[in-house]
Amino acid sequence: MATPGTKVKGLNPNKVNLAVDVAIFLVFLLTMAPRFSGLVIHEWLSIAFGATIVVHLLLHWQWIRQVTRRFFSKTTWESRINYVLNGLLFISMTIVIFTGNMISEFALPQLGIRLGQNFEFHRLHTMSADFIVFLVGLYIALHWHWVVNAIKRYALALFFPRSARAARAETPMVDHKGNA
Amino acid sequence: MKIVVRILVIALAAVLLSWLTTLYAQSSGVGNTNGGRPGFEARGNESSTERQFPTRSDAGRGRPGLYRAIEMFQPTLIITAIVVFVAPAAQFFRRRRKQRLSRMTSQSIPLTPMSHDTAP
Repeated sequence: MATPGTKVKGLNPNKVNLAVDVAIFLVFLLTMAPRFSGLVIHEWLSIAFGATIVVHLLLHWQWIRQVTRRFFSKTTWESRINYVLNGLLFISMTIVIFTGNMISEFALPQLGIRLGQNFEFHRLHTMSADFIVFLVGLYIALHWHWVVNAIKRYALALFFPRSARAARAETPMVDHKGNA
Repeated sequence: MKIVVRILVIALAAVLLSWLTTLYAQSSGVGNTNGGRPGFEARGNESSTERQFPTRSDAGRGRPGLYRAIEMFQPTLIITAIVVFVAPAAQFFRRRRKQRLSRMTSQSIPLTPMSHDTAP
């Protein structure tokens, strides 16, 4: 998660990744509960979510390029699993956002775009959304070690500087790709 | 410039996927108002989305509060369950791989000269 894909100058890439990923996750949870947020927020947040995915991919561009090159030759199984998982996530996210726009009731009509209702897009939308929930669960589980370390080191440091220092001494900040 | 190219690559992939999705939807019945499900035909002003996703006030109407809460936050609960089960398993395999690697390196590189290695 911490590969220097597109570097943000003067900022720690791990901190940037943590902030972006936490924001993406919270938006995702809110978007996935339309009964809680309401359909208008669901639609607008989903459109914004597309932009955050692009940011996430840009931040990890270097890793994507490296694993694409070495996928069939010299890389770890963990990286391969991660790569496949990321690919599936990208495909499902694209389908869910696209079909969501096709059946939009508020967001697109507000922009003056009206598309006819279609149950096939509806079916695809709910199917891919269900699939995404499982993929995101797996994704977080596989990155759990990194998430816990990053939260200990950066987020908790704001409130408990001593425990953050201890965490820093205990484990080096290495991501699943082996980058320190 | 690099960033623009990267964004274009991502956008191109997204457009391609969207086009494939449209093709799939067309082949399996665009224009069907019921998607092959009897009893789901669009009626009057009622839209498909309204039936699929009730509004906030409609969610789980007439059901107990806990059931409603579970229904609303179903994705969060599923993700939590997956993380609880899969994260320790992933950690276990990672640790086992590390142990195997360290064992291999300690076997292949003799750190201290053995008695039979030293010349008489």
